[in-house]
Amino acid sequence: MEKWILLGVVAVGFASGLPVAFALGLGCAVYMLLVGTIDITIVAQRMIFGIDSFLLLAVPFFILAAEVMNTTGTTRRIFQFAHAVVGHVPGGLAHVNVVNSMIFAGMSGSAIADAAGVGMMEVEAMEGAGYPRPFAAALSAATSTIGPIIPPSIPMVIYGSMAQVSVGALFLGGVIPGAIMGLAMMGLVYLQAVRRGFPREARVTFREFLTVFWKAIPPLLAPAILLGGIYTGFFTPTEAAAVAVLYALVLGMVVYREIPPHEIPRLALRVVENTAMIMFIVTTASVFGWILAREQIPQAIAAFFLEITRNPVVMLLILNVLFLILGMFMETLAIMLIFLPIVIPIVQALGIDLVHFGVVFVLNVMIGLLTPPFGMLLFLMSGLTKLPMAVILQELVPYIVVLVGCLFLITLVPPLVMFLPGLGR
Amino acid sequence: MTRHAARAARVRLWEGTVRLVEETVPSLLVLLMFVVVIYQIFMRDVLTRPPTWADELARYLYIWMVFLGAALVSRRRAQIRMDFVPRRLPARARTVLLLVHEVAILFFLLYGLWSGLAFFAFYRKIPSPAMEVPSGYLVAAVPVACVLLLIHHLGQAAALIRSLRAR
Repeated sequence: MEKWILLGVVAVGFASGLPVAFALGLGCAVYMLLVGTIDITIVAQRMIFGIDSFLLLAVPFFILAAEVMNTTGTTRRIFQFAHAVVGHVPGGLAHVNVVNSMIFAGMSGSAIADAAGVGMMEVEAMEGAGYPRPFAAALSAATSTIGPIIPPSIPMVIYGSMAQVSVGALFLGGVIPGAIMGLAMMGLVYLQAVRRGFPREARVTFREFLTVFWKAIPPLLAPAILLGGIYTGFFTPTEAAAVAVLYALVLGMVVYREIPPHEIPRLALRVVENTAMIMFIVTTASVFGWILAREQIPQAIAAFFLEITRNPVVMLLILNVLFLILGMFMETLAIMLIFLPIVIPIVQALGIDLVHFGVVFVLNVMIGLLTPPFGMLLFLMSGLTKLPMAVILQELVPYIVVLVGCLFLITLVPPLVMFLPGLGR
Repeated sequence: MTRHAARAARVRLWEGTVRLVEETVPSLLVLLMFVVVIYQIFMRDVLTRPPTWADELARYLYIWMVFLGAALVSRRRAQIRMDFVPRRLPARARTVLLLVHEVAILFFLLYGLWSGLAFFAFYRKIPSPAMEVPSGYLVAAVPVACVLLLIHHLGQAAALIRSLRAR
């Protein structure tokens, strides 16, 4: 009985717009009071120990590294590099947008941060070159979803800490799917460019290319340091994230001299706010998770799902459809924190690799950032560009279709995810 | 000093204190965390003398940063929520819904404070595994955060009531 009240309170809280962290906390508090016999200290205990993990320290460090890179001219250098590489193809600046997001993804682990950081710059550049503003906004939102697929990735860190799998393996697993997403979107851009007559940019000379490439080398090296450090076992993901911050700081303060020391407090404060937004939800979600386990809800739901099918491929397809639907209505992190404890036992029972599932899952919930009525990237781009969401959505639909295609491709062809992590085993 | 000026001075003092606790302190914690992790890497990989306390210290700083930061997020009304229902409501109904939310939040925070204080009382003297400092320094984060959050959400509830009355 109490568990139904708990789930009801959380569901009503979510739907009515109560902050996610408080909806979970309220449900748990009501449950504890109704059951009455549970040790009162459990809530505080779970809130603290739910985030007491060295791995989760990677979250603020990845945010800080991206903030520092954003503050310097790094963002501009990457854009110029992408421009030199693909600008001359039909739909030039739209391709630049995709490539720019792919490279930026190698420094940042959050789709929202990518869209907030470079989205507006991309839109303005494209609009200036004669692209329709809604198209530019939709494309910038769609390409931001690559951010957490190409490492680093905040959702993968959280998934890794919940599923107890190697974050290094998840990171490597995201490389090929991220590249596929980028290429697939460029394919679509090309088709649209030809059909709608989008402009292309002048081809740069080899000399210009070298200049731009030379300037882009430091930011291009960031993901190499990160992945190399984790892959060789030299760093844990958290340490690699701290090293990425150090690298970005040295670049910004010593090499480019674009970050004055008095900017540091402002950057740190943004990290505090963005980290606390995410991790405070993790605190109350871990109380919620404790109650779910106490009520044996994951086992009950797993039994229900395993009744439907025991075929791993069918199960993955069912879960994908389920999470795509949830992604339309729920916030990404809330989906992860609430449904992962329930789904992971199912995935394990069928012998599906947790790294494969992790990458599939993260890509799935990233699509949820684009789909209405609740799509954070859609909200964000609509807010930035002052365009109504429906207008952006019209241009966005083909990209959502392409991304869903990528999702089912990596679901059905596991080597696309597992090849790189498998190399080291 | 007039009563008005005295009041303004109190408000400024209060705002300064809040910013110190919710902005300056957690910002310093982030930077300190960064230094501790870099120091740990350096000691382990370069001097091959890994410090035993660094991992734990970094985690404890992190926990405090998150809980103090949570109060900042609430003060700025930036907690993540799915607001498509309130956005579609007429103004007055939305205000009422938000007030109901504030009451729900206050209820949770009071429970959290109670739980946090009970946990603190039970756990505060137990030494931490690596640094062997009393765990009270860690677990005080929950009641402290709950008090800060209670203050902000009481303020936000009061503002909602005022705006209901005004209409």
